[in-house]
Amino acid sequence: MSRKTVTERKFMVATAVVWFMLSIVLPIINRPNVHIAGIPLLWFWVLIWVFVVPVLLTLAYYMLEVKP
Amino acid sequence: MIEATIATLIIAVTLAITFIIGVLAYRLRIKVLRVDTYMVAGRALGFIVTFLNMAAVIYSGFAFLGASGWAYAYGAPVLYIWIYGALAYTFAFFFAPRIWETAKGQGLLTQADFFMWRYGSRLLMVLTALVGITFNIPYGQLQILTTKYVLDLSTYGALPTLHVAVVSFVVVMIYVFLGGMVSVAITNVFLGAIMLAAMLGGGLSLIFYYYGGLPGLFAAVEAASPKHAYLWAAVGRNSVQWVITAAVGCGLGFWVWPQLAQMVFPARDAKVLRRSITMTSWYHVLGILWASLTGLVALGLGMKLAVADHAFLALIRDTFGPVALGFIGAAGMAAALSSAAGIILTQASLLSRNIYQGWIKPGASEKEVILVSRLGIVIFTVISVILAYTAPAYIVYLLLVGYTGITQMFPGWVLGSVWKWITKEGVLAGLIAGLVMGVLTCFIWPDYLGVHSIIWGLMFNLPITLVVSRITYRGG
Repeated sequence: MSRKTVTERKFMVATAVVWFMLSIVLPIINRPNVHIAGIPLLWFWVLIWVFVVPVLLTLAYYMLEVKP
Repeated sequence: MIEATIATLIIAVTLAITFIIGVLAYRLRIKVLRVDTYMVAGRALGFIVTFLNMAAVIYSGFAFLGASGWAYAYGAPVLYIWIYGALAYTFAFFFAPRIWETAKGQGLLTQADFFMWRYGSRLLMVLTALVGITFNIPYGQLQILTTKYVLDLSTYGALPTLHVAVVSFVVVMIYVFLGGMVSVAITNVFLGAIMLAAMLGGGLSLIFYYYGGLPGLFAAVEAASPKHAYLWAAVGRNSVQWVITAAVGCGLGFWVWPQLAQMVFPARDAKVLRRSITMTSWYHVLGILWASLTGLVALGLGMKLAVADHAFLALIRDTFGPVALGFIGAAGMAAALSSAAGIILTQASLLSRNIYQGWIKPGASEKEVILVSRLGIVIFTVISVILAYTAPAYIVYLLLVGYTGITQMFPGWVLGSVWKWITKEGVLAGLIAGLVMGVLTCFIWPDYLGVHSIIWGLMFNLPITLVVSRITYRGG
């Protein structure tokens, strides 16, 4: 198995973690009146995790296509 | 009156620039018009064009009006839009290059071409083409109505907005008719760029102007309506299980829409495609997130809106005046019309390539296929215009079931590209079961138990596809 394939599989696993967090775990975290930095808990974590996606994909693009 | 003139002038100039770019793209970029040039721009698009073309088609008028309207009306359930976009881009990063390689190698021009090549079934090809055409019909009409809503607010009621929206739609379809994907893609660079500037600039400026940042915004929302800040426990559209299933269902169905498949094929190579998808994920978090939060701004201010979808534009109008309204309105119109261009071109391509050349007249020449494509653009434009004026009730049903119906092609489109043992019998049986279940959970038992109808459809579709495929697979 090539190094690029191994790296790609690692990013697939990271993607699966993102899917699990965003679609299952975060909607369940839904406690009212709990805030982080003044933002309701649910909104805060969804905001953080949706920003994780482009960062992850940028990193994946760099490692798979620019410096494989 | 002067306010209406300023805003209308900015919107009219934007439309004129769009038209000029579209026609120039046709005149200057197309030397010989072939079928692959017309439908997938000769698979020659570089990074910037692929990226912004994709973004402009994906983010329709809904990004401007619907998302902020949802936040205004429901609050936290709008997060499903943030989530499913993020899920869809991670999925596309791995899936799209694979499908692009297949399309390039096999000369595929439409999504239905894939079904013909992969399963060797003309029935499946025609069926998927018909599903793609039918479920997109309300979306063409919807873009006209979105343009009308934008104009309603931007022109301060000074113009007959439905007529003007129809004229704008027809103007766009002229360059789609002439240059096909080449004109669509190049104009979408312009339209996609102003859309992003408007969503990010408009959203952030409203949040900081009124509340100084997100903590202030959420404090105001919780004071005005605490239930908007979190998901409700009750079963229904605002429940936890609805958000989970809607996000997963839409995330899976996102790249099954035939117009998105057709935005993938024009990329010059797989690397360009991956780079474009990565940038479109940035577009998502920098664009629609901030546009949707404007709905909460309106809520926090205690604005009473007769139509929730007016939130973003009404705020811009009341806060920053006619010049800003003109620019944001132009971007809203750009969002609607750029998506309409992609949708109508895709419908015309499915009609000419898969219904006409693939079924009615297999020996049709390139010239004939282009002719039928152009005829298709005229036909679907006329249908959209008629529906915009008549707005029949059944079209609403088609719209409601659209995402659910399209997503039922997921097993055939995605699993079929990964596993060779998926058979046409399995895909056909799963598709029919998924469509039936999707329709039932859309209309008879809407989102039964708070679970989105997409997932109900897939819960029947996927096992049936897999089991029937296992039984009917003969190897080789």
